[in-house]
Amino acid sequence: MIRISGYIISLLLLTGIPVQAQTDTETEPFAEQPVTGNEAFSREKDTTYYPGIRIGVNLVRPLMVFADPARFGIEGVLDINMGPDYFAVAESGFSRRNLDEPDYHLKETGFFLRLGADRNYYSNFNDVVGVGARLGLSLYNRSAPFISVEPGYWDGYTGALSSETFLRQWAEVVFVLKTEIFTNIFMGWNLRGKLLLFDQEDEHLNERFIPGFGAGETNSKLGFDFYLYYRIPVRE
Amino acid sequence: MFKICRTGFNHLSCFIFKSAYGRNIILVLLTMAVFPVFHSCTEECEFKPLSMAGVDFHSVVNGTDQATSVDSLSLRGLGREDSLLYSSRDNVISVTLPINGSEDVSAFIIDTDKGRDTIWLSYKVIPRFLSRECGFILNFELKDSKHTANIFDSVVIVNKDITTFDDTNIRIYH
Repeated sequence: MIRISGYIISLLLLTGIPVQAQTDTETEPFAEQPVTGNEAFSREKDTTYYPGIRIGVNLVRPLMVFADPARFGIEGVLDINMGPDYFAVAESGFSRRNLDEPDYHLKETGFFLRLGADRNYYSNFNDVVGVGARLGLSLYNRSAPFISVEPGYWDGYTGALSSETFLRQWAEVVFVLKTEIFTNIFMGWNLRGKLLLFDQEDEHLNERFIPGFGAGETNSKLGFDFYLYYRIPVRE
Repeated sequence: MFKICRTGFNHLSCFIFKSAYGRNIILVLLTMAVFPVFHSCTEECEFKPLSMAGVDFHSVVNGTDQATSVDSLSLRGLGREDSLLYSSRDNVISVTLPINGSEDVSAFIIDTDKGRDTIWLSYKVIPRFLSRECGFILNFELKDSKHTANIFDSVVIVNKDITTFDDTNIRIYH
C-alpha cells in the first residue's frame, strides 16, 4: 500500500500537483510492522524532523553573468521552520542590469527584499515540496547617461536621462523544491509567478528591469531561482 | 544499507541508495531545472517604429464638424525644402508628420490647390526605451501650435501624446 502511494506521490511530483502530507497518526499503524524496501523511507520523517534555520544563496544570479554579462546579482535567503510544515522565508539581495550599447547606455541598479512563507506538502526525510507566497519590495535607481537616435527626416537625437529612484512592490506565488543532499546541506529551486502591485508606468521605459522582479514589458512574470542552503544544526 | 539510511539522510551512500531506488525524484527534477539558467537570447531589432504626429483635415459645414479632403497637397519641413514628405497628392484627408527630436519646435510648409500655410508645433521630447535590441525611440508631448492663416482657419491639438500608435494628434480646420 505504501509502495503504491509512494509511486502516486512520485507521479504527482512530476506533474507538479501538491501532495498532502502524511500525519504522524497516519504512519503510526505501520510502526510495528517489519521494515522492508521503500517503506523505510516513508518512516524517516518522524525521526529526522527538527526545527532549525536554513541560510542559503541563490546560484542563478551570480551565474547569470556568464550567460548575460549585462546582468548580475547576489541573493541570500533565510528560512525558519515554524512548525513541521511551515517556514517563514526572507530573501534579500542586490541586482543590476547595465546595458552598454553603441547607441545607448542604460543602468538599473537596486536592492530587493521578499518576505513570505512556505507550506510543505511532502514529508520525506527533510525534503520540502510545497507552495509559498511572497511580498516583494525593490528600491532601485535608473539612469541613461547616453542616448542616441539615428537621423530620419530630421537630424538625429542625442541626449540622456537623469538618475531617478523608484520603489516597486509585487506579490508572488512560489512552487518550492528543496532536498538535503548531505547532512544539513540542501539544494533546491523555486518557480515563481510574480505580479506587480500599484504599478506606475515609467514614461521612459517600455521594457524595464526591476531588481528582484526581473526584466520585461508586462506587470507579471515567471521566475526561476536555484538555491544552495545550509541548515544551522539545532540540538533538541 | 537500510540502517545507514534510517539514521538520517546524512551519508553519500544513503544518497546514492535513495537515487538508485528512484525515491529521490526531486534531485532529478532539480538537475533538469538547471539547464534553462544558461539560456541566452541574442535577438536582432526587427522593427523600430517612429512616433509621428497624425493630422486630420476638417471643415465645419452647416454647423457640422466633418472630415474633408484637400487636393494638390505638398508638404515639407521648414528648412528641408529639398525633401518633400508629400508631393501633389489629391483627396488627402490625413497626413503624418515626422517630429524633429533634435529641437523642441518643428515647422512644416503645407501647399494645397488653395494656397500655402505654415504650421509650428512645440513639444517636449520623451526618449523611451523600447527594448534591449532596439534601444530608444522618441515620443513627444505636444505643448502648443501656431500657424499662418491663408487657408487654415484653426489648428486644434486633440491628443498631446505623439507615440508609435497611429493616433490623430492635430486637427486642421480649413
